[in-house]
Amino acid sequence: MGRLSAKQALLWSSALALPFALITMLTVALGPVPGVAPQYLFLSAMAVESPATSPAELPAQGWQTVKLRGSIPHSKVRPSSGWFRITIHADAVPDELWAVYFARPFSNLAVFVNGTPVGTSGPMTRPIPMFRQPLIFKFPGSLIRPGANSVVVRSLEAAFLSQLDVAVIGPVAQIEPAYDFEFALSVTYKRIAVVVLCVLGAVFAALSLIRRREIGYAWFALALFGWATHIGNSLVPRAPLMPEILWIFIGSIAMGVFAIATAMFVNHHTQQRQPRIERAMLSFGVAGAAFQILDGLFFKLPLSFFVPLVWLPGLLLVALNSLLQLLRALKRHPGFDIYVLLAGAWLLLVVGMRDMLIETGVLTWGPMYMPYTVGFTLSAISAVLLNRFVRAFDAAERARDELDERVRAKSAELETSLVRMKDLERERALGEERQRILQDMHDGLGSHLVQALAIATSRDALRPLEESLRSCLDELRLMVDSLEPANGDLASVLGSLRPRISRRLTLAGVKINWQVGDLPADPDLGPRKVLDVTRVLQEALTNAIKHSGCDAIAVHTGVDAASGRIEISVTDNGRGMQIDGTGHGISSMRRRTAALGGELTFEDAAPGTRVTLRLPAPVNRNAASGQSPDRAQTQGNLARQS
Amino acid sequence: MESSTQGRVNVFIVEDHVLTRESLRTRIEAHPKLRVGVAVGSAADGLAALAVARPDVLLADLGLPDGSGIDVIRGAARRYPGLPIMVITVFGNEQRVVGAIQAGASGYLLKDDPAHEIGTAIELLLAGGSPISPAIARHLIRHFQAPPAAPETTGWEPLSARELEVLNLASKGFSYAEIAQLLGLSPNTIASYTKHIYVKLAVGSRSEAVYEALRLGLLPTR
Repeated sequence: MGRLSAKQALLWSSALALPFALITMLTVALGPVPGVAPQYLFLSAMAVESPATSPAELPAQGWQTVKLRGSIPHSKVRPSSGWFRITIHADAVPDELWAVYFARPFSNLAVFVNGTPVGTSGPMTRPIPMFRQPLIFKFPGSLIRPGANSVVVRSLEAAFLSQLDVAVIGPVAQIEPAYDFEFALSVTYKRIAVVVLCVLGAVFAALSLIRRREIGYAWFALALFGWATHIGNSLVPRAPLMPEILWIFIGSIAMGVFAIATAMFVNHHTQQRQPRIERAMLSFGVAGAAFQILDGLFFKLPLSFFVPLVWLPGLLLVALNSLLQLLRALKRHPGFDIYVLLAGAWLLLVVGMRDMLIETGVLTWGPMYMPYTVGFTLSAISAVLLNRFVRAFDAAERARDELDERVRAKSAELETSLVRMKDLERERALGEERQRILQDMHDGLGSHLVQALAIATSRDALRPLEESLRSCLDELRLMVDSLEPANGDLASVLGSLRPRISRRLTLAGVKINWQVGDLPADPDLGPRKVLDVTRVLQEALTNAIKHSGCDAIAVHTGVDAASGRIEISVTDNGRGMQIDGTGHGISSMRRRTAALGGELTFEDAAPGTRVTLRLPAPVNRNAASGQSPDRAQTQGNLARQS
Repeated sequence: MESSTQGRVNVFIVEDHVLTRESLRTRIEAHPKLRVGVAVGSAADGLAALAVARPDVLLADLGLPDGSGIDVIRGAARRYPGLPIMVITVFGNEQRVVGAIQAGASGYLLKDDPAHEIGTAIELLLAGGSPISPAIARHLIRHFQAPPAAPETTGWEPLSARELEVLNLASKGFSYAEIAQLLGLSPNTIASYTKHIYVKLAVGSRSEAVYEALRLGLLPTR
């Protein structure tokens, strides 16, 4: 799956090692306190451990030379109180204001210049554990004497870590810019960072509560809180509520929480769980934290080795694992969030390793970069995650809108089909009724007519009845035909008319020229319309046969290209009728034409007469199929389908 | 047998109204080659007569006093495959005729058709053609264009483009001769097309019936 090849491993480890080397070289080049001239820097001092509270009480014996930033020998005395003495040489009494400045002190400090107290960082009765604020103690130059001067610093620390930062002693004008810069960097920045991280942590904690499935967000929130605690701890000047000793460990435990929670978050986020490794990490975190707390409270063992040699390297392994997990994730499903996470993890690892070298004393005392890197990294990751979250919400909203829309459409569809079904049901009932009537007509009326006809034709006395019986039968057949489903096909309606008139034509010796072509589908072609059309045409044909004296009739259909109107013409070759449009047959034709919304014309065809029935262009109702604006129309449609 | 001895076509009529039946007999026998061998008035008599001898042509009414003429047509078609059958009807309307065609009839006669038309129709039928009316053609077009009711049945053979063309023209009222002329074919070819269409309809409806019977559990499934 996500196995790294040797080449890739080499590539990635050099990506880790090169920046690490660069940042280390930069630290060395900048010196322990950047921005301060070397002559004001003091890297070593004489030190002694003593519970004394003023320089006058200090013992004469037991002093030893220590490198500043290092711990003085371990002591069982707690709180420990370390005394450091730096000797400076002056040629003359300086006019200007001077200062003693510690960029990153680890402890509570009191400073004496030639025995005169020039300031303390706080109440020297109660030690502060992890206070890491730059401290500057200003004093008038008049305190300096020509020759050797002693600057004595008392460092009050909670445990065995009593140590002093590199001391800077010199004119205020030379030192203060560095102090201001350091203050902005380590205090102002950290305050902002703590607020931002806490807010983000709260947001992600809330998100994890909203979306319980995404437990990864809870781990990320924990990481944010962990780091906020880690840097917030160094801003607390006094240790309230708890035994001071615990405050020392809060920083390192918080860092562990950060590292392990981040690792858990990475595993959840990339969906690459590692049950055994996760168990090991969590056990390590809990055991390590418990060990530090218990030791601080009860055993009070000299455990200066634990944090730098066990705890921090362990966390480094955790971070390394997260980095590898992110690389695997990148191979499986690369995404912007994975890139940002990877960049962040990579940066933290480089900076963390470097900071650890300082913590363990391998490197010269220098600024810790971790607090800054972590803050930026976490903010960037938070932004990416929030963006993803918001996009997920957007997508959900869109999906919901889409769903709503579909549900609406479906309901409308259902309603339409319900209406349709009702119509169909009604139509089915109508159809059955019609079928029954047709059956009755066939077996009753129709059969009797046929019998009567048989009688009429068999007896000469009844012959005169034959013609009216035939007319009855023809009439009945037209009605029956009109009840057949026409399916909108007017041409087939005309087709059905033809056999009905063929007997009369044959008897009259009239030939028919049948020119019926395809006609546009007419969805409104119901029984009523069919009957009207066929009656008009039957009448026209009957008139031609009876009155024109023709021997040929042409029936022609066509569509007017401009208006789309359907034209049906009956043309005879007779002598030309004297049609005045008043006869009974003619008025019936006109009435039916009007009902059709059509137009009937009679014209001289020389020879003969042409009767033309023009019908309105069929309405194309294909487009308006969804809604049913006209219930009656819909029923009319369905009527033809049964 | 009878037809061979007398040299005339033996026509069999099942029609319940005596006057109509006799009128039909008169009109049929007006044709020199046609003879009515049996003329009965009920479905039972019709089926009994069919069991005795095979006619050359069967003409059957649908509304019989003891049942439907459809049963007579179906029985005749089963007993004598290929027997030319026509339904006798007052209107020639779709519902009645299509049922008869599905049962095995090849066309219809109107009860009041003049003698010469009856003669021509029977001649056409004996020659292997099937008369087709516009209403029936319209019904057939719709029938074959609708999706089959039983998708599993194999007997559903769609119409060819030519067959559809013939039906289309027939539905517009054109006669055999006119259709033949319009399509540039002989009237015999058109007749065989329509015959083919009827066979497809009958086969299709038979497999539909089998499917329907299987579905209802009326037939054993293996």
